[in-house]
Amino acid sequence: MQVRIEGVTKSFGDHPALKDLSLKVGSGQLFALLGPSGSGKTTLLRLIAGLERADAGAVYFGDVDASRIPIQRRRVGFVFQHYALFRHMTMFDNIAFGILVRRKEFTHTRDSLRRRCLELLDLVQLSGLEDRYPHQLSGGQRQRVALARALAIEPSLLLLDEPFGALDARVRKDLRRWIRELHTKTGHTTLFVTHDQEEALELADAVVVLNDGRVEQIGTPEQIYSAPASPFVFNFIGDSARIPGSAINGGWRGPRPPEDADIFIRPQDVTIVGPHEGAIHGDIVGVRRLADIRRVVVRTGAGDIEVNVADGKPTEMGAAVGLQFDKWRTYRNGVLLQRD
Amino acid sequence: MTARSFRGPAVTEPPWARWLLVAVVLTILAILLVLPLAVVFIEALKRGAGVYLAALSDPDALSAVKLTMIVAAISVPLNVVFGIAAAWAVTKFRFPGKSLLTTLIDLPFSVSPVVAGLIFVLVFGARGWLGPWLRANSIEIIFAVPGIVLATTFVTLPFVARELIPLMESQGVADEEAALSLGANGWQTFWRVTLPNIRWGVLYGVLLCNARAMGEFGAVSVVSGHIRGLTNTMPLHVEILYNEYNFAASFAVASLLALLALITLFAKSALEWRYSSELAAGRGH
Repeated sequence: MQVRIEGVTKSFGDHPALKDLSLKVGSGQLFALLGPSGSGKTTLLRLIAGLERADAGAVYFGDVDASRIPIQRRRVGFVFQHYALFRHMTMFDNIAFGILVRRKEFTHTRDSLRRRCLELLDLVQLSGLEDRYPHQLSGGQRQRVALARALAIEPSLLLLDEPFGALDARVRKDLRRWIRELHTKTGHTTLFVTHDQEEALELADAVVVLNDGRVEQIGTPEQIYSAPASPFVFNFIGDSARIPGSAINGGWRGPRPPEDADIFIRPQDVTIVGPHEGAIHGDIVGVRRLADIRRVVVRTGAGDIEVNVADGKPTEMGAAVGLQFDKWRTYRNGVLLQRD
Repeated sequence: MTARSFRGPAVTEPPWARWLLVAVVLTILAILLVLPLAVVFIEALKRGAGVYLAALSDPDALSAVKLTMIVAAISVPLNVVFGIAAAWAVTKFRFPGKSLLTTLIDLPFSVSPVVAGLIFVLVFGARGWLGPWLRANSIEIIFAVPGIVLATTFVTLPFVARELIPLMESQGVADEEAALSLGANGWQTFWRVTLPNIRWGVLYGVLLCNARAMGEFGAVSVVSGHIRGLTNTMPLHVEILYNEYNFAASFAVASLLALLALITLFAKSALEWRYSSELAAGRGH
């Protein structure tokens, strides 16, 4: 099912959470809503689910105005950040809940209900755990039960709120891959909220970057990463440094007056060169170890710039170096000027 | 980990100070709590089991026990309904006057029970606001069972609500939202999700509420009229017997109340021990 959000505005008291936001999610697509906390991404998700009411604007499911559909009949599978499993029910009863309270829609016999629930447990790879209670499961298992429970109502739309937020790094990675596979298999239109850019880029067909209740950019992970539409997106998607300078005809002329444009650059697009070469000069003031590379901090007249350095290359503290920029983006007043 | 840390958070007092503190506390407990309780049972049984049983099977005593049960049987369910409704309203909705409601719920705890009783006399009594109208319609409230129920309900009003509000606050609304998104209507959500989540909290509140309902003296004393065999509850009956120097009978009835207290205490501890995680934060442990 296609979801359209048109000019939605929502405030909590004096605090505006969403400002005239529009968005279209194609049928069967996997969308990530990416943004820092307070950007309105969870509010948007809850609004689509019917857990919040918009102050203005509308959400359309296909061609139907969703505000006419009460939450119970929206058939939206919602997976909560902390899963919200019913703690006094077994896994089986959790999954069966949605089917049992909709007895009019699902005409199951006792046997077919059982079959359906076990099928779903199998789908989320938890066969044999139907008699366990939520407190007897690990975080990753609870997450998958929550997903099975949401899928049980045969949703036309699947919404996941920070689906990996409460899990440790290892489980997170496995679950990410698994959700991708599940989406390929079941094909539900899916939106998930995350503040982790890596998660959004890896998992989604399209990423919606939200900032302060507005859409900053919508695009494929490739577009978002390689052509960030605004300094905010550039900054949010990965580590970056901002260097003020001047630009003519979209071309950056270096860190010199008039400082009418900024370039943004990523640590992997900077090379350390001799102290008299490169676009900008400074001293090495820090060396840090990241998982697979070293990160060097160079203090320059334009501030500290982080640089990725391959293993084996010497990096002495205090050494005077030059920095050569291999790739960057130029923005003037928040607007992208040039593409490479 | 040093051996010291097993004794708990950094203890700096010398051993003699610790033992002295413990001894003081235990002595106070013994004098104020254990001794009186023991006296009740000793006095009650001093003249033998025959006298004890006779005192309990006296028609007035039986009618006092019966009335106490009736009052508890009415006021406790009323408080459960009110407590759940109030806790639900306070924790699941945003509305104007919410903090006022939270404050008002505690009112019965801060008002002296005697004043609580007087309030009802002033409203429903013969010379009260509604007195003439009530008499014209021959409805008896003060010096009758309805007045006792009203006073008891008022005094015990906060028990269930106060137990549930922090519990439901800590549980949040995610479970209810999940139920709604899965297609449950309001009733289904309440019966299948909310109530099971708070059941032990409700039971805890009921226990405390029941103990207070059966033991309430002040407010009930004002509205009851002390009519033997008609409007005497157990605590009132104890007082009457005592004032008549009928100590054995008085302590016999009192022993029932003491027994109720012990059972309540035991059940309460059992609940705290078994379901501490499902009771309001800060309870148990």
